[in-house]
Amino acid sequence: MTRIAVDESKCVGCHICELICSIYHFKVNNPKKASIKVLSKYPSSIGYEIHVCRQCEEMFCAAVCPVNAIKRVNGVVIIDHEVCTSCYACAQACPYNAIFIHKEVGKPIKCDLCSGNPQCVPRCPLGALKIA
Amino acid sequence: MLYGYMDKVARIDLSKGRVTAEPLRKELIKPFIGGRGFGAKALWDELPKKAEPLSPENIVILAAGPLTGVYAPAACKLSLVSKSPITYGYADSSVGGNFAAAFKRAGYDMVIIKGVSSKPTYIYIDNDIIELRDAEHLWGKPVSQVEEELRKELGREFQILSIGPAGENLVKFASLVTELGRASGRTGMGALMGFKKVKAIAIYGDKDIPIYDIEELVRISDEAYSYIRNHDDFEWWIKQGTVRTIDWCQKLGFLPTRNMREAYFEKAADIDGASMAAKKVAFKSCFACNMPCCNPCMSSDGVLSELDHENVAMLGSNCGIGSMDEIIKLNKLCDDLGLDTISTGNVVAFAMECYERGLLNNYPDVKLSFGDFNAAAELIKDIAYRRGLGALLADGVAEASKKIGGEAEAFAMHVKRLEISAYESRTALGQALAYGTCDVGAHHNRCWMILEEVTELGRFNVSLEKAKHVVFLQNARALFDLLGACRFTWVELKLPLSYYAKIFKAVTSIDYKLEDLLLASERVWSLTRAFWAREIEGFGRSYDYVPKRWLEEPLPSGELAGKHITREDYDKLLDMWYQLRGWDVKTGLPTRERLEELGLREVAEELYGRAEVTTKAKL
Repeated sequence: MTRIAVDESKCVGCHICELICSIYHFKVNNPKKASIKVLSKYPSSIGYEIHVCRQCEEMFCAAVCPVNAIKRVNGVVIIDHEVCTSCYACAQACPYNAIFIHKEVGKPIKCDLCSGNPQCVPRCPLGALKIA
Repeated sequence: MLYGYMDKVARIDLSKGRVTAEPLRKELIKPFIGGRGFGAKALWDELPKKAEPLSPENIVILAAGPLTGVYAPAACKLSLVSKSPITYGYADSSVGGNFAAAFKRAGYDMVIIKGVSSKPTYIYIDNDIIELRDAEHLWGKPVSQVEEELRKELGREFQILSIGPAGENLVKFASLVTELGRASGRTGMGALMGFKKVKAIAIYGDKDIPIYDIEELVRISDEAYSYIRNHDDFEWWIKQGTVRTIDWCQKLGFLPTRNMREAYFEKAADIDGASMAAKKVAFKSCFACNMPCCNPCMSSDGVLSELDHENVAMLGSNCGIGSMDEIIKLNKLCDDLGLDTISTGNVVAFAMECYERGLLNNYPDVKLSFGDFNAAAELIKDIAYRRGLGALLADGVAEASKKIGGEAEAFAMHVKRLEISAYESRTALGQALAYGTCDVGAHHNRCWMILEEVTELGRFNVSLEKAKHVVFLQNARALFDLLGACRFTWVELKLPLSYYAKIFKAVTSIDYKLEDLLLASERVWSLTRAFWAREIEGFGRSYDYVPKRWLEEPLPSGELAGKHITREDYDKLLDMWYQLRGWDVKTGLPTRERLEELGLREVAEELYGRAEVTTKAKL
């Protein structure tokens, strides 16, 4: 199974992953529309949490979807936006807080591994993101 | 469609509790680009002439650049622009981290703050919503606590820029701090916020930043990021950041030591880049930057703060302190109290020299030798709370030295009343000129000549090439402030400047060559110079000199013992510098012709009166 594996200890908090993610998927410069999120560990001034879909074996998101919009396609957990009704139950159910909401997007935002070529991974400065 | 800009300027009138917004004046874009350029123009246009810095009339402008928040190397800067409470002249100070990108995403090119709030407040910004919220519960608290409480209250994705007790107590070199380590440090912006009773700005933004050609932006920025990542110096840089310069300064005689009396420090090896790296506990970068240099360091007893060359040298060697642990703690203290570490290190060292010379007899309880960590820590707190000797020092080294009187003024290390930062430059004529002519008072970040002087241009000689290089660096560095990016990509890992013209075009669609961008810097330099002249009676050439210590006192020790630059050489280089800027050599002010050439006719009229009047007078 392919997924993005994270090593938070190597994250520098640059948000380049979020930037390129929003550009790749939506053609906009807006890290808040990314399907990966880096959060600093306040109140500590150091350390980051990286939230990104783990393409779980047991799909907690799919299990709660009332319209069966979430399926595994070639190993990747994909939300079918045609079917999705934007109830965001998946975002609530994700144990890793890796499904995101942005009012302008109108559908849950989730990592789809960029059709097999994750854009964030090669751009991560110190290798906090890897393809596993 | 406007690209690279959010097309919105918000105005906050604290006295009236009123917030308004208007579109960006598009005619500002080509001549002033953004950031510091927008701020300088707004300050010129909107500040009532000769307003007191600490008065309701003074305005603080927060200004993003066209690159702020975009996918480009270190596009993470916001400029704060105002009239400084310490210099009484033009002032700006930029801040990195994540605050600037949030500001831009919230939808603003500028936020202009005027007036004074009747009670402590914090400015709450969530995209289009701007509210003045009660900050009684935050007043008096250190920066770290303010940030923690506001994040708890508002959510983790808010970015917080706040002042500490020093800003509240109007310490004239008070800072604003974000993310417990990134600061808008210089020129006293924290005091201005404190006067306005603004404890913090909390901001969240999630809007798109419009980009003209996003595919081109990704192509160029990817190339630039790779250039940085693959640079030979990358690994060394992320280990040591700017602190790697300590060792280099020690070898070459630039390390400010004991109030810049000396340029070599016997304990330099204990505070150099390698010593810092041994204390470093994480890599941390600002927004969109792939060359992290925040250097979070932990002392043996668990105190965490972020170190760079400036705070290590100013709080360390300049105060005679040679312990990394002690520097980490003093730095943490300054950040929490909201004090600029550069000015603080300068002022504390000045007080130490005063003590050694027996000039502090009015303060019989004060014992303040160089190297005394506990005394330094106590004094820093006293400065922030304006207690005892601290109250005197809280107005800055120029003011304090005047009040102490006698010989003290001769070793008060400032230019235009702003404390000199961490390069002892009496054996580097070009760097001395850079400090002397700096547009906000002595600050290395406007021009750093030392490398070129020790490699190609020579340290003591006068040459046109040297003067030209000062002008070039001053303009090139300004460019980063106009664009809203950090200069380190170019300064430290040598990313060619030409990238920024390409990125600017991809972001904004404006087809500017690097020369066009540098001309905007030149324009801003002349504009801010005119601002000084408008605000300070008698301002001119006499303000452009470095302290007597550099021009007359030989270095007491080290390889360059006995050496110093001379006033005669300094004057020659200064003449060249004025000529290169198109400024009058005698007055040191931009000439009418130069201002008009730069498209600053209204500025020329302010300084010289209307052109037809002069023509008639000549007839």
